[in-house]
Amino acid sequence: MIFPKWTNRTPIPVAVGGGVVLILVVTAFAYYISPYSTQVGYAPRQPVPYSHKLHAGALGMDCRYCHVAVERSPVAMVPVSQTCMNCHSVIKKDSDKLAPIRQSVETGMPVQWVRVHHAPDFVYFNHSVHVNAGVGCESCHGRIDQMEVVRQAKPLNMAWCLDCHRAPEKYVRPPEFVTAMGYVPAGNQLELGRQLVAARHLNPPTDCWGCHR
Amino acid sequence: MKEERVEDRVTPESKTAGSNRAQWRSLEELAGSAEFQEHAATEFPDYFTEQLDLPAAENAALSRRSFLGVMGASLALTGLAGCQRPLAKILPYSKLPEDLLPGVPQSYATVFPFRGMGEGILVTSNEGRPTKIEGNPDHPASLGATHGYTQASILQLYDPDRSQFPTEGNASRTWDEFNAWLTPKLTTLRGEGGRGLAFVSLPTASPSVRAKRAEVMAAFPNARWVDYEPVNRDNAIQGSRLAFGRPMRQQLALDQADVIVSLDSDFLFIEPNSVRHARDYARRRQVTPQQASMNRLYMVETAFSITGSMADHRLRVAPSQVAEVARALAFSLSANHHTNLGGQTWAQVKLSDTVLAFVERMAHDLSEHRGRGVVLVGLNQPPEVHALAMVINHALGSVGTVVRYTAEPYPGQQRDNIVALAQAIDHNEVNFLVILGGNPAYDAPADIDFTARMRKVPDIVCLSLYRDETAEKGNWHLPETHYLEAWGDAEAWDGTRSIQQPLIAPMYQAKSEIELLSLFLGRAADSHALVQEYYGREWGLPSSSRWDHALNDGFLPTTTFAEIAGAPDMNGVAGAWSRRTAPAANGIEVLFRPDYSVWDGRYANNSWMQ
Repeated sequence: MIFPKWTNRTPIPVAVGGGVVLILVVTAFAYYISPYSTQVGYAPRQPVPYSHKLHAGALGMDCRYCHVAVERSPVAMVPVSQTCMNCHSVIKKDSDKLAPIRQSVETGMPVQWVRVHHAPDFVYFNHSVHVNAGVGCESCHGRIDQMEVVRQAKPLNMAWCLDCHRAPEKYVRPPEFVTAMGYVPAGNQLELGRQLVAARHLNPPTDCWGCHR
Repeated sequence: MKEERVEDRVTPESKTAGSNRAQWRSLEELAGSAEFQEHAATEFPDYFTEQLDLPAAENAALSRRSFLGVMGASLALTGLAGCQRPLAKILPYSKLPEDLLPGVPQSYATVFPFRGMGEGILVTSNEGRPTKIEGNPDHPASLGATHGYTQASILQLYDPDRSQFPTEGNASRTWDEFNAWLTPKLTTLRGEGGRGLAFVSLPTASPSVRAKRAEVMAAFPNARWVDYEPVNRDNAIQGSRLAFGRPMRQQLALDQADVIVSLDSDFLFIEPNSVRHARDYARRRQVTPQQASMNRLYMVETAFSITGSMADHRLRVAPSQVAEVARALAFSLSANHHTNLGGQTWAQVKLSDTVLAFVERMAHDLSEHRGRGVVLVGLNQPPEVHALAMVINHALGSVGTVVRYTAEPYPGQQRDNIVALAQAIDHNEVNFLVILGGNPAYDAPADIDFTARMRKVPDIVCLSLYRDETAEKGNWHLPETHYLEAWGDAEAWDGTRSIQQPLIAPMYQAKSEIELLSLFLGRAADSHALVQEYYGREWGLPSSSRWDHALNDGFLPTTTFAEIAGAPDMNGVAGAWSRRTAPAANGIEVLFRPDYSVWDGRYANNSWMQ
């Protein structure tokens, strides 16, 4: 007798246990890739109900009017309160909604904006490198010009980053269209993308230490 | 349940006094005090169990099991907290500061004052917070490198143990309260011309502070001023007095030296201007097509130093024997190598054959490289050895190539000064003591017992970064600004002038030395105004662009000390040597050296310098 007698009782517990483990694994994975985990759609309330739909969409302001550091710094830079007052000292200057801005300019204390797009501390991300390489604002932030309240449009997880790092030609644009919203490539994106990648010597890192420094 | 304890198993003897054991783990264990045995008997020290809010029974003796239980629970709770995404805020500026782009660090040139010298540095600043110090490549005392102490000084800025507000005894006070206390005292002192007033300070590299000190001394002509630092250059300065009749400072160009003989001189680390010396020395260690040979370094020393570890030939001798080696070198050079060291006073010295052979090799090598060899002497050596080295360097023709002399701007004898102050305290001649930086209660010579003498002075005001041994004993302790928080200026070893520009506003209620001195003159002003005022006189600000140049480049060129030519008094030095009685070579010798990490103790709280 090769197997002892108690082995006769094992198939059912093993089948049930295995089933439970399988369900758990599938659930965990489903959760991990779901928007609930990646925070897609996260749209916190901001201290000032600033509308990108109005400013960037209807008024057609360039992203870089406010996010001045985006081409030169790792951070795009949330605009300083003074930037708002460039216009709002003339337009809607008594609006209640702008009270925190006026207060900030008066007191010198910052407006406490809530962070929407959050790269973890163990990831190095540099805005200027991406923008100068021809990655459109829209590619990561979505149609900002249609958002009343800014929300996270893309998963921003590692697999998503690697999609582009492995095949930049699918996404890059000519530099003059980086801040364009609703950009449609003139011609075949893959062909254009390959030309841009070659012309600009784009070689996005796919090594661990490219981002996890 | 009483658990078995580590101490019971491993070292049962530790319960008894440790005197008959060969090994012990600490001096306390060797002494076998009751306090230590109690401490060693418990598995976890008292201060650890007290922090845990456990029932009294468990607190009495924290078992390993309950410890693991508590730690496991906190680990599990940490994991739970990680499930939720934290609400992060972005706080932009209200108005963007000039020239600043968030996320892009800036770099400013300033100067690190240390031991009465300035070292030019570039400080990286992230959104107004200084984060990293590197050397200023254009500054002659740095050439892009820094000392370890310079690097570590950035941590000192953020040290949470720094004093944050003035204290009187143990009570917290404000600067206004200090001023209110000081003003009537000053009125009385001024009436007596400052009789009974004494200042103890670190030697300063700052011309503006020196000018302010002179103003204070003019306002209180009967006051005393004492510069004191435990690692000082008293011997070197005294040596130059012996050789030249006046205090001189030696400027070295080690990149010109083919042969370096170091008599206990740790010129790559402890000696002043060591960063520059290390660079110059290393330059002559590279063999390139243009430079076929390296320099050669002979080291005669007691302890194993950084310089000793670089030496080609190293001789280990007792501290008292270094002077004898110098004497033997003088004899060998004058007797065997046709070097005129002033008469026939250099007699053969009794030393072991090994040492004499080493000396002979050094003398031979030096005489082979006339004008390209130099003898350096360490801070610990008596003045006669320094003077002799100056004579030898002169005789070898190295003055003008490797060695140059400039005036010594701080010629005081620091040890004598603090001893004189101690005597004055004994004679009740001091009733108001102001200590500006430094920690004399900790580092003054032990035989004058400065701590006991401080108790005899009724009023003591201490300005320092930390509430240290000295500050605890004074009745007023005032927090001092870090050098990255206050305006100032500094001269490098060769006199190159730098403006010390702060990287950040003072984080605490602190003042710099010049600001406190200004209070003694009855005027509250900030360091920027005081330093600019000084340079307004010196450079003719604001019409001059020198200030802006100094801020931009980190220093002003052509501000070096003027070179002084002069021949040493060979016979005088030889005479001093003939009067010198050599110390007995037997018995235990004690050597005092600054520490390679905490220096004289001032970096004791710096975690990079442990």
